Amino acid sequence: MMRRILPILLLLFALALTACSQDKGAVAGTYAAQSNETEIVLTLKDNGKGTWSTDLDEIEFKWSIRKGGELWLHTKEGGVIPGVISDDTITMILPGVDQLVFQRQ
Amino acid sequence: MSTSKTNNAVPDSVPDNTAELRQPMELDRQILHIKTLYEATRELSNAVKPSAVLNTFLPIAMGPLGLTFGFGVMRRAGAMRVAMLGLGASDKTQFDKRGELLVDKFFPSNKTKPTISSPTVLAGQHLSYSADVPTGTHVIAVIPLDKDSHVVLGFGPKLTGEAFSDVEIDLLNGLVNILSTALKKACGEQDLNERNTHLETSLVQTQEAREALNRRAFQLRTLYEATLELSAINEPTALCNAFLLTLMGTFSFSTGWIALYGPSDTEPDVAYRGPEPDCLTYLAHSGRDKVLGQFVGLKDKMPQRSQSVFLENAGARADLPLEADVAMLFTLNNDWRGCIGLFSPLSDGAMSPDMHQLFLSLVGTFMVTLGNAKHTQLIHDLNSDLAARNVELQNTLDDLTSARQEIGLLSEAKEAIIGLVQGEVLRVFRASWFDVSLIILAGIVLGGLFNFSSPSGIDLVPKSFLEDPPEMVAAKNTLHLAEGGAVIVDARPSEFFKQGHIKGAISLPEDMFSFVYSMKLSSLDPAIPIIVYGRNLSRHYDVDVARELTELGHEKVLVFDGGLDMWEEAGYEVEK
Repeated sequence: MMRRILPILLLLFALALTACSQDKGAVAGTYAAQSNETEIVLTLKDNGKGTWSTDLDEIEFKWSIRKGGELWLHTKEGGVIPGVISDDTITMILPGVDQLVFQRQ
Repeated sequence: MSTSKTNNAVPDSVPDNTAELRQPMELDRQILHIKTLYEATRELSNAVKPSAVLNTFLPIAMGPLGLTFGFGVMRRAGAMRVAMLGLGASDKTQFDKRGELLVDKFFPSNKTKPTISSPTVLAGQHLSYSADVPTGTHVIAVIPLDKDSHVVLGFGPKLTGEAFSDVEIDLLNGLVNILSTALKKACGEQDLNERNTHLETSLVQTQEAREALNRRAFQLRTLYEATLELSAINEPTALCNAFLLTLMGTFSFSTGWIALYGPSDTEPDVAYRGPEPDCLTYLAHSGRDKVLGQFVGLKDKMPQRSQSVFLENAGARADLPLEADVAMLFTLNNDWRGCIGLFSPLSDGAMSPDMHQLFLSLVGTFMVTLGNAKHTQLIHDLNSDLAARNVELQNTLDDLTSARQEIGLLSEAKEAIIGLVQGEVLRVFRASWFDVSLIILAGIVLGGLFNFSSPSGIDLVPKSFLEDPPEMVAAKNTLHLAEGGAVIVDARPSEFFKQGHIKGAISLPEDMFSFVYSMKLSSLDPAIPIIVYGRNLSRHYDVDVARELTELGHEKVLVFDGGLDMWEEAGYEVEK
């Protein structure tokens, strides 16, 4: 029985490793955007964690890069905020908020 | 010297009473004879030709003796020469006819050993009886010069009618000996001159032969070098270039061109050397009709396969695509015809027949090597085509082999899958509870691991199940509170919000709560009431968001559990 399950587990493990092997070094860094009068600082760390900081809040999240170079911010509530990476800018849209353009600092 | 004395010789004795008178006369006669001999020696030594010697001798010999006539017949190397003095034309005719017989009488031709080895003088009236000499001949002298040269002299009677004395015969003997010496000298000189002339002629001929040999050697060397050079080239255009260079160097022309045209769908082979490089392009693109037109113009004289012909007509040469002082048309085979043109010679003068022949020979060699090059090119093309076909065939074979292997693998896989499915089907019926439990357990563990490791993982137990339910509010009260300054929050995913929502509501999706809250509500006064709505059968977004808001310190968080449907049923305003 184990001989049949073991290959499946190994396959799943390999897929997990592949998903985790995305290159984050090139994207990691500190970005800043302005929304109305609020400045938002987006920090993406090499380990896949990050922070979303305003004057009043600092929100932690995890992030990843999908195929095609799209940035995903994984909220702790289980949601995903997609962002588009272009050179040194990251563009993303939050519900009810205008388009946010983060510039690398 | 031998001397014959005739019976008619004058007697030496004279009467005693005249002895005193005879002495001075004898002395004068001796002096005269000596002078005659001296004069003969002097005069004859000046004559160069034997015939001139003979002609000079007769008056010298006849004068002192007072002879009526004299003649001399000389046979030398088969040729007869006659000298006469005091004889008529009939005697000349007679000597022409019978002179050979006269000489042959004393020097027979059929005898290898000479009968008379030294000059001899014969005297007597009996000599005149011979039919071979003129009538009245009293003295005959014969002189052997060499093996093939002999002289016969004859003299007539004295003017006085007296007989020849012994002294006069001695004088004649002396004169004949002088003549013999002079003739031998003249013959020797003549032979020497003839030999010199012959030698000079031979020398000139040898020189001419040597020059001809040198020209022939040059032609053969040129032909050999051209053959050697051309045979090493396999590309037709390169061959034309090399041959053109050879022609221009050999025949000293500063400009030249070669054009070879095949079927209309093939590229011509052209070569040009001269001051205008553009001519090469002109030959390649515009020369075909003009060159091939020359072949049509020649009609029956058109060169056939492997033949060449000079284009002698200046008017025809003027119609060639480029100028040519010397032009030759040649035919390689039924498809390829060409023309060679040479222009602007470096030296004056027409081409000699030898050079014409060399030109033809060189072109013949050129055509052979060009034909070989064409064959080589054809073989190369065929080989290339064959190689391409081989590659194509090899690829096809590889594809077939690969397809065969693939088919084999697929067949094996098919059999393996069929076997596996059949085995699994059989195994399912034999599966134990342990196996099923193990599979379920593995699924739970993997699911838990994935949920734990995923950034989008969810709580295993919803928090709303563990906490007290929030305070509910009806549609009418919601409107009332909103009009009083309360904030209405739509907790559904933003896609639903976009499709329609309560007028004035803020989209605050439950899964992006923290981000949207920080942007929209973080600065809201906690005392302001917040009314949350949005749920479906499986998810109560409103409850979760209300709980979050409460945790963030908002003092009055209410839930409008009727949602958008009830709001619309109540007739309140909806934004879309």
